[in-house]
Amino acid sequence: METPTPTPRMPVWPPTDWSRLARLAQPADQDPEEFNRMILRYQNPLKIHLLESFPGLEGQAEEIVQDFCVDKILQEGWLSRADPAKGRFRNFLKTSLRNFVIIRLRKEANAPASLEATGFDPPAQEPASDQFNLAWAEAIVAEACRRMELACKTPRPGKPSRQLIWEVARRRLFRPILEELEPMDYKDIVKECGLRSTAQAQNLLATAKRIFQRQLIAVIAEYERDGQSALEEIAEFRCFLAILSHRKMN
Amino acid sequence: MTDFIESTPSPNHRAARATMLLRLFSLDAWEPEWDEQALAALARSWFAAPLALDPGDSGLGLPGSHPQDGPQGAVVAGPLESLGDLLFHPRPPLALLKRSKDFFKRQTREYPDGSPAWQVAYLFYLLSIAAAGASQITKMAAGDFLQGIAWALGQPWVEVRAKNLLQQAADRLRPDSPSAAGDS
Repeated sequence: METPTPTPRMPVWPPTDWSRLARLAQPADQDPEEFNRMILRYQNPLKIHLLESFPGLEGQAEEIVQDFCVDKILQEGWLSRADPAKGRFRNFLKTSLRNFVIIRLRKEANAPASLEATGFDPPAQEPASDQFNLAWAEAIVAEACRRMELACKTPRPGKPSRQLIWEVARRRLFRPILEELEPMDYKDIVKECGLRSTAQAQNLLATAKRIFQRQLIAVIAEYERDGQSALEEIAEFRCFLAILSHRKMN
Repeated sequence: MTDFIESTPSPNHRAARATMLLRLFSLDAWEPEWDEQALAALARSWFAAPLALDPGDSGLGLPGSHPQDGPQGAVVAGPLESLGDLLFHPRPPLALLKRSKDFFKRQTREYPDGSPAWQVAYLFYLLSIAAAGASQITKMAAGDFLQGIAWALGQPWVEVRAKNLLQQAADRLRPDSPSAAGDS
């Protein structure tokens, strides 16, 4: 007996064509604040990768990553060289950063040619790195969290309960997970947040989870191709985190 | 609220942070129409998960995932780099399958029964047993195993090669099947 695999559904999101990063790559359309936020978001994982590859550059790591972001991401056409078919955007960034550093070091050493000039073809896949991937996962969770808080705290006509969604999520979801506190009892949440019932609190929490999940996908979809690729990225992180989490038991 | 991210200095600290982040990545609060795609994506990622535990690597940490570590020390044909390589290998090392089975058994205990994460972990638990020839690495009753296989075969998000592996294991277990007679 063989059950046929169903035809994949069309992605819910339209392809973004790496829209945000691509936009940022166009100096004319560049929003300095958005660009700075994007740099800051992935600076930590990039620094970790830099120091894993070049431990001797510790004192210059921040400056090199900044230079890399400015020189590469602002350079027209750079992003067009990223081929989603060759792997994750994370790996493209890692390879690019490594090559950027090698070329920089060669220039500093007065070497005659850059890697690109010698025809060096970097591998499509960088080796996995726990530290880098963990820092990247932290960066996207932090950004999704920030956006959710902002969205919930921004008053919107006809959406009076959005602030409450954040307050319930903070007490039942984020603080227990991020600060390792016991989840607040629903009765206490009802009292503190002025809710009608525990059922209302539960409904708000369910909504909060959906909002957070959407934000998580949105953050990832900005650097992956589309929503479907973001799903794959989330799945990859889930496996990675489950494996890393499991290691403490061994 | 969002200033909680810090550097991750030690392996234990990394594991703790991974546990924390995993919970936020595993909310599974999808819109219903996304369930199937999310499950299929998660299963694909597990098939692609690296086996080896190398310095700085994020593999499953199954030691001995090298060709010389085949059954009874025999050389195993074909690569053994990912979990999919192990599960679909013509002669998979039983020790690795047992570790894989134990890993996913623990995973099923970490999630509510029937949740998406539980379903995927349960599938890989069944696949590990099936790849080992069922009775070789588990004390699970044949009836329970067949019931699990029937569940997996009914899931639209489970890919065909996985269903084939499970179906073959089920065929071997049924007393009236030709392959069962051949195995005895």
